[in-house]
Amino acid sequence: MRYLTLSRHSFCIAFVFLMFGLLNEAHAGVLPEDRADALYHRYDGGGEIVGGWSATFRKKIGENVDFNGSYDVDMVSSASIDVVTAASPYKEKRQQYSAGFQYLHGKTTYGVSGLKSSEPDYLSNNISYSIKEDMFGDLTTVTLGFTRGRDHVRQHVVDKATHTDTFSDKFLEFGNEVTPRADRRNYRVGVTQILTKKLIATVNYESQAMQGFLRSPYRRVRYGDANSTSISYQSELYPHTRTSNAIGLESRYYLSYRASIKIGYRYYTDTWGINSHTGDVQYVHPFGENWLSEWSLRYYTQKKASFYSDLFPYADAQNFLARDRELSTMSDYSFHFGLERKWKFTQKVFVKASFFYDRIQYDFKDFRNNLNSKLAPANQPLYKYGSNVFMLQGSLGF
Amino acid sequence: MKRLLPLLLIASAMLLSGCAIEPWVKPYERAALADEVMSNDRNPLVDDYMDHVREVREGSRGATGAAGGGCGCN
Repeated sequence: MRYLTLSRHSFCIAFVFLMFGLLNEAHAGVLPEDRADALYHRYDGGGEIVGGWSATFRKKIGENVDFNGSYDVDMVSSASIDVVTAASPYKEKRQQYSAGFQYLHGKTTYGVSGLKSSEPDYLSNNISYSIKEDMFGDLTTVTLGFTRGRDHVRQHVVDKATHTDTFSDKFLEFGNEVTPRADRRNYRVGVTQILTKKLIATVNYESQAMQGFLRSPYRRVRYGDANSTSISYQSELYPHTRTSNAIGLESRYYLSYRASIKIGYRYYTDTWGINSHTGDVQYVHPFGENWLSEWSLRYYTQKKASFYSDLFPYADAQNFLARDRELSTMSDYSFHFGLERKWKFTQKVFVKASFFYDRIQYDFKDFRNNLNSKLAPANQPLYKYGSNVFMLQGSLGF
Repeated sequence: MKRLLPLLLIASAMLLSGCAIEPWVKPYERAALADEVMSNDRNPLVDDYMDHVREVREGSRGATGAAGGGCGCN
C-alpha cells in the first residue's frame, strides 16, 4: 500500500514536471505552407487499367487555421484474373472527395477531416481526428489520430431479360440475410524524433478494427479434385470482424554532399492470420538548385490468411472460405523513380513539375493461374504479373 | 527496486522537462534537417496514391506514415 501511495505521488510529480516542460515551450508551432497539387496517374497490370487524376489544396487563414480539400477520380477498366474467371470485364468510375481543417494553438495542432468515396457498388464515408504536438524543444513530434469509417457494399447485377444494370445489397450467409455494411475504426500514434543534426527517425503504430460485411460479393472459391478439370465454385465466406496491428519504423539520414537516404521497415499482423514484413530504402539526390531525383526499392512479403486456399477439397469445407489473392501467401518487389523540376520565385512561391514511375512485380506462392480451364488445378502454374505505374504532377506553392 | 522506481520516474521527468529547455540539437543546427531532400512529405498526393495502389493489392495496411508523426524541424 505504501508502495502504491508512493507510486501515485511520483506519477503526479512526473505529470507536473512533464506539463512544466511542455508549458516551457516559448514559441509557437507553424502550419504547413499554402500549396496546390494536381496529379495524373495510370496503373497498368494484371489485366487492370486504372487511369485518373487527383487534386488537392491547402490554404491558411491567418496563422492558426488552415483549410484543405481534395478530389480524386479513377476510371477502372478491369479484366483481372478474378474478373475474367468469375464474371465479365467491366468499366466503372470511382470518385473521392475530402475536406478538412487544422487549428494551431501554441505547439498543438488539432485536425478534423471528412472523406467520401463512391463507386457504383461501394460507398464509404470517413471522419478523421488528429492531434499533433511538438515538444522537447521541437526535437519530438507526437501525433495521435483516429478515423471512423462506414462502408456500404452492393452487387452489380445485369438483368439478362431487359439488359439493364441493377444493384443488390441482399446477401445470404448460412441461409440468413446479412447487413451489407462495414464499420472501421483506425487508431494511430506517430512519434518523430530528431536524433542528431543529420538524422531523424519516425515510429508509427496503427491499429484497425473492422466489423461487418468484409468480403467481395463477386469473388468465389473453387473446390474439387486437384487432378481433375471438373471444378465447382461457391461464394466466399469471411469472418465479420478483423483486427490488425501495424508498426512502422523509418529513419532518414542527410548525406554531406546534399542528398538523403531513408530506410524503412513495417511489421503487420491481424486476426485473420496474415503476417507481413515490408522493407524499403530510398535515395534522394538533387542536381543543382532546381532538379531533384528520388530512387526507391521496396520489398513486401506476407503469410496467407488462415481460411485462404487456392482449392478446397469439397463444398463448405470450412466455416470461412477465401480465394482472394490478396489473402494468399505472396510477395512483391518494386522499383520507384521520380524526377522533379522546381521554379522558385520567392521564399514561398514556387511551381513544380514532377514525373514518377513505379514497376511492381507480384509473385503468388499458393494462388494458381486458372485462366486456362483445360488444365487441372495441380497442373496450373502459380500466378505472377508485373505492373507499371506512371504519374505526372504539377504543384504550386503560394 | 520498488523504492527506486519513484525516484527513476521523477529523474526521467526532470530529464524530459530539461530537454524542453535545452534540446541537444539547437534550432540553428537544423539546416540539414530542414532541407527538402530530408522531407518525408514532399509529394503527399503521390504518397497517398501509391499507398492506395498497395492497399488494394496487398493484405496489409497502416503505419505507413501517411498520418504519422510529421517533423518538428521547420
